[in-house]
Amino acid sequence: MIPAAGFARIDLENVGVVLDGRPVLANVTASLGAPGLVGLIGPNGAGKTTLLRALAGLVASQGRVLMNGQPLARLSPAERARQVAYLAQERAVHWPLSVREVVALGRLPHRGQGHDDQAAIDRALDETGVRAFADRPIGHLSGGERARVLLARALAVEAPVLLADEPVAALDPHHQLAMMGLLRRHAEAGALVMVVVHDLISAARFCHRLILLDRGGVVADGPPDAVLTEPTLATHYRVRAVFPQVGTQALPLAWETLGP
Amino acid sequence: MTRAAVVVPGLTLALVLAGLVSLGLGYTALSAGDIARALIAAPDDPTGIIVREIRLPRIVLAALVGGALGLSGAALQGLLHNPLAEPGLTGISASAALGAVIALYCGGAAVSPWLVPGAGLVGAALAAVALLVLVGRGAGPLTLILAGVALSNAAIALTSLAMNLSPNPFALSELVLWLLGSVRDRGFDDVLLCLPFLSAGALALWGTGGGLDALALGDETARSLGVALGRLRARVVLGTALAVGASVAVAGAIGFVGLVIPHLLRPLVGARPSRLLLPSALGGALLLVVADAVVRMISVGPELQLGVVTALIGAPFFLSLILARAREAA
Repeated sequence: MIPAAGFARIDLENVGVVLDGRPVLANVTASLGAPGLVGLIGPNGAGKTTLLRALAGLVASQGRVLMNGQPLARLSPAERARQVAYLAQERAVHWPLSVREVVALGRLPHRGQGHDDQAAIDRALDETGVRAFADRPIGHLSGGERARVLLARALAVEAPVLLADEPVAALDPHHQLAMMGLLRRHAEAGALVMVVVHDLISAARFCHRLILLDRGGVVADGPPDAVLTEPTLATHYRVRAVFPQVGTQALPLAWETLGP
Repeated sequence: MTRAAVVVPGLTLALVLAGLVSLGLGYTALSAGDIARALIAAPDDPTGIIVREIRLPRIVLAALVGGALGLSGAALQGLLHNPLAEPGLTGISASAALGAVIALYCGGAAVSPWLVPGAGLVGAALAAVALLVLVGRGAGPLTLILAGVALSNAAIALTSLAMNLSPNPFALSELVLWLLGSVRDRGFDDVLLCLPFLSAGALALWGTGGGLDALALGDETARSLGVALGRLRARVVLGTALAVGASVAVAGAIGFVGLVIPHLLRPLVGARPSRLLLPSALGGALLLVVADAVVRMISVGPELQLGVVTALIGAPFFLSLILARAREAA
């Protein structure tokens, strides 16, 4: 299958990661072949962050990761960075950089490529709605504003693939909704966006597809209503979930713990 | 024009002016006309000798050493994302000083004028090798800082041992004076000795700006942006070792420049490490040329050592800067 122009297809074949002699991820096989927001869910320690890091080339992995049929490992670090943008869980910015300076760092992989970097930076500032305070130091922003700026930094790469590790953790409900909405719109505009998310309701509402990891392996993969079922949540999250109806959608609400 | 845009031309102009003024300062005060005549005077003209063979080389050396220290300080602060980082923290300065002190202690200065600086370079190289081995094993900023502190302390302990064992007070005072840092009585031979190493170091540090900028967002994000982290760290360590090693080898250990200069310039050019590299090199050069001029203007008592003056100027300035920041933040 030939991917559409500008769209990336990623195929994972038996991907595994061993950290300090301990297998953290094993036999992960999945095809990410359509644009959309893919939610990576699972209990703590399931291997979600490790899978994202393996896709971004930040940790050595076994098996094969193919991007448009080509092994990702064969790309140079700069080429890979142009194809796969990564939004780390870490939100620290070590120097008092301005918002625009932070976002501009997303253009680093394109240096010397003859692209219009300013236009890409402006697009990212506009898309995340942070242009109004582009000249302020990032240290003066609230947590929600900072999260949007860091997302803008990742969007400025303008890579066909965006990997985001818990982008809504520690955000208030308003900013959680805004951030998930942004990621979904970005995916609907043609990017492959993979996001680690803990909030099951956000996962159900915003993601087109969910991949549930547990103990380093994929245990469920499909549309949200097929993955977020009562038995699945009981087995893998050890919670009993209830499903209140909101509009036409039944949303999973983790209600009580099961077992110790 | 923005403030940042005038910093580089401003510092360059100030550096040239400070150098020219400094040519006229000293035991024999010279006017601009005297200096101009001295520069083109016959080889045996006394004023010509003062200007061309005594003052010019020490001013050039002060500028080179200051530039190396300022540039390395800015690069290290970016690499370790730590505002307290400076060349002294890596153990490179102390190890270079140890090498030179061992050569002085063994009477190397009498054997060949190259022996003391050569031994300084060897000391810097050994420290650099230790740090590069750690980088090769994937050491992060914290490990590098701790290793630098350990190397520094080991080198300082061995230097103290050499002073402890020095055979007489004259030998001891020679060691101490050398350690305090100076460009006094240095000639163009010293400039030529340090120039290749210093240039190679500056060249290595030059291209690191983009990678250092990315490190502001943390190691993971920098790597995801295509920065080869191990190579970047190795390059900064190597560049610092070459530039600072060569500086210490010819001028002794001059502190504070690498720490203070990037801090002074950050409010002017912004906090991006890449933006700080060139201004910090120029600022470091300017600070040492001015400090050296101050040293020569004080005509009472023995000539002060350059390291003493940079610390005397630098420390209160730095403290007031930090207090001002703290007030701003409060």
